[in-house]
Amino acid sequence: MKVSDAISGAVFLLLAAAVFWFTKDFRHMPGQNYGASFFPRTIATCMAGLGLLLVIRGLRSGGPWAVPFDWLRSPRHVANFALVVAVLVLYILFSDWLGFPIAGFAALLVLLLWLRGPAHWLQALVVSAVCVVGMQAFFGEVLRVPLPWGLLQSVAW
Amino acid sequence: METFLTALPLVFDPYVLMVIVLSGLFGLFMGAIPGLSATMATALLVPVTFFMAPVPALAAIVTATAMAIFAGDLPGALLRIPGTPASAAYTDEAFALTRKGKAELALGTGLAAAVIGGLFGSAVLMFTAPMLAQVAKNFSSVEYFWLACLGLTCAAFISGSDPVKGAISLLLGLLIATIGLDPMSGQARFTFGSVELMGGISFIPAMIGMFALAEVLRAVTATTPPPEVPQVAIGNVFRGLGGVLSRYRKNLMRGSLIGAAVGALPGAGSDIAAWISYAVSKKFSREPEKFGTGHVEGLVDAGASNNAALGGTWVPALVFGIPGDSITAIVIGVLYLKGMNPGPTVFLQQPELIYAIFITFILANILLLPLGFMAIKTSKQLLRIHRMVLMPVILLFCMVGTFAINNTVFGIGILLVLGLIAYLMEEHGFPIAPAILGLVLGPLLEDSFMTTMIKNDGNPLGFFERPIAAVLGLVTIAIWFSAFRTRRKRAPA
Repeated sequence: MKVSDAISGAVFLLLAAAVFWFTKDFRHMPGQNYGASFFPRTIATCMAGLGLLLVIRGLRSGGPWAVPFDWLRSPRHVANFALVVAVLVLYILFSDWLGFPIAGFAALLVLLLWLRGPAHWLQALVVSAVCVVGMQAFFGEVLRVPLPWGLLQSVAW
Repeated sequence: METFLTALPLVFDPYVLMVIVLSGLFGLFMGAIPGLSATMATALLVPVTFFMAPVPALAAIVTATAMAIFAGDLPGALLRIPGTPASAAYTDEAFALTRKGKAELALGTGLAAAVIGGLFGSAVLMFTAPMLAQVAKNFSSVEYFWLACLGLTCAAFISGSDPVKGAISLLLGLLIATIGLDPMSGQARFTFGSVELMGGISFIPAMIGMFALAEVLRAVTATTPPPEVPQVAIGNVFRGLGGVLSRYRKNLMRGSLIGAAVGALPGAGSDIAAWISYAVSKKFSREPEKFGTGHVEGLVDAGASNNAALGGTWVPALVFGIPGDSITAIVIGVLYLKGMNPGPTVFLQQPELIYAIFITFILANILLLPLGFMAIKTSKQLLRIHRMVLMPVILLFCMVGTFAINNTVFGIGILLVLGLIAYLMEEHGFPIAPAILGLVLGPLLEDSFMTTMIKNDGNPLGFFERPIAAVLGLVTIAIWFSAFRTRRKRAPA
């Protein structure tokens, strides 16, 4: 949803207010009358000013409050967007348990099958397998990143 | 000279040379694919360079960006889509040449101009950076505060069409930088009880999210189908090139000069350099009427300019720690990670590393000639790779690269959240580069701000007491006012 400048300005105004709220209990530095809250509050003040400017500008220009993004009208594209976000969330939740080879392969395969189309299933399988093995070898072996093996711990190289 | 000689073996080491060649190929690939920019190439390289020594790490970034800026010309000439924003200024011109059956002339000119411009930019970097470092030695926290402000101000006002939105983006970056433990008082800020947030928002996941994930989201929601690759034959790239280069040698120099100078300005990089050079070229051309119809003159200027700007942007980055554009914002983050805190002291303490960067710049631009030639020859195959195959692979690479930094999936969470924020911001006309600059420079800005405040017992006039600081401060404030005033005049209220 593309919102008007008035609404996006209001969002930043709210954010600035939140900064003031969450810094209210910060202690001052000993012997000074300012502390850890000073810098964030200075930024928030500037942000509030600019947010207000956006609100005024948005109200004056008088356009619609919100226009949906073009792609929101196409269920296919909405699903594309949701799938990318879902893959990231699921990977965060389960990659430790599943391990990188399984989670990475599944993530890539699902994305390829959906985005490129199931007709290209062979390409999807090959690309997923090559990428996961390649990344495991490069990050796991060459760069020594402890990518989790998860369920495949017993066959870890 | 002695430092130069000690720096040579640092670069001419088999491992470093291998890194240079591989990152060069990576940069060409990233630049050639529309939607993948030089900035994104840098963002994706950072998790890999994280594990390298400073010289190969920086060499990888220098080479990849130099290659990517040139490779952006390929889809520009063949598909009329700039591969990176730096090629946008002359895409129509290059495509018009292709339609006349002169694709090889457009690409050959672009390549030759890029190599010459890049070498010129490298020379400017080599000569001006050490000199400026001498001047910067006398700077104190006040000057650094104002320099950071000036850099951020330029970034906010130049990078987008709307200074208000640019400034908000910048402030958001600064605000994100305050998350975590306050270094002065030890106070936890905006951590909401999360132990992982105490350490602050790591710059690498944030940057990958904002530059790469946002781009992936844009690609999967693009409703216009990708254009077909035209069946043009690319003949001898070097035919007729000698004539073009000697006829337009002044343009080469002018483009390079403008590029290096624009690049050195904080906030402006290759994209803006190319636009300015193209406009200047047209203005001073003897045949301005030919511009836009497939005339090679503007390509010479702008093609040299965007690669020359690359060297220029490193000048303020190395000397003051003030990024010239979004690529050097990432570079500054990398320099800090490598313990080479940018600023004049690095020129005194680790001059051999600085000279190694200079040598890499020259090497990368020389290497651009054979690699760029190869890229032109394979460009049709490159452009045929389906975007929907590429995006999932990039996404997985982002996830693994982010994980590699702290070995937790928490970083992937940051990647996701900031990627979504960046996507929404860009869709609403808020530029992203200022936010990244804010995130990188936030700690320096706060530190120099608080130090100056404490030194002057909380008196804000302390920011203007030293002469250089006063000048920098007044210039910065003048830019703030002029930016908002011109905007108000322009906007029909």
